[in-house]
Amino acid sequence: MLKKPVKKSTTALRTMVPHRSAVSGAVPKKALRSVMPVADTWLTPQQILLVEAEVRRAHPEKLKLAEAPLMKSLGL
Amino acid sequence: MEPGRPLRKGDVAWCEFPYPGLKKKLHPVLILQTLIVENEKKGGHYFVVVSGGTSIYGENGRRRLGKKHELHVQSSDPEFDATNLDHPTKFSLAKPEIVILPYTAPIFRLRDLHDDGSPVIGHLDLTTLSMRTRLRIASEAVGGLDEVVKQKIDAYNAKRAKD
Repeated sequence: MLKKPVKKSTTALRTMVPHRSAVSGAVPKKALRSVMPVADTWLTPQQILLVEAEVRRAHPEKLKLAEAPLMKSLGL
Repeated sequence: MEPGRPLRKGDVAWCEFPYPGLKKKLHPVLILQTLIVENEKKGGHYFVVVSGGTSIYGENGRRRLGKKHELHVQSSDPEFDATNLDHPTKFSLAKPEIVILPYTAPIFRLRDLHDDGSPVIGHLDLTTLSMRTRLRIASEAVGGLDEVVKQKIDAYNAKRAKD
């Protein structure tokens, strides 16, 4: 005779996920990062400017023509 | 112009053009070239090379002195209607009056709510014989417009790399 699957209660499911407070220092960094609050990456406006300047320095914005030069495209 | 249409060479837009020594005010500008950022994905923000425009007639109604490097658009020209300009206008191709600007607000903006939601108000057809002739004369007066635009882009890139 087939056994009817037992439906787990939501309380049981909840207990399967460890609470954030239960995460100890032994947990790999990646897992730890996922439970860290977003506010940990908060930067002051001044720090944001510094980061932006750093990014710009590493990848300087370089402009180029999107299409043929005007006079050339007019055949002049 | 309907918002979202890609910019074209010859478009006329309202822009806070940085005329040296003058207070900030909206001026019509002629889009000479559209630029893209090389190390950015397609669809990134636009930069444009624009030529600053001003009315041919001064506030007192007297005609301003014309110069060889200026591209004049008169109200009697067949191309004038499509530009949607209010007055006969001249666009200067002199080096200081050709500027690279990001195509963003508040530099480019609507002059009034009748502008259909885009700072681009019209288009100057540069392919007609009369406009081609005027453009060629103005370009020769500055030693080649394409060359001036190239110098401007090189100077911009050099400055950004140094910053």
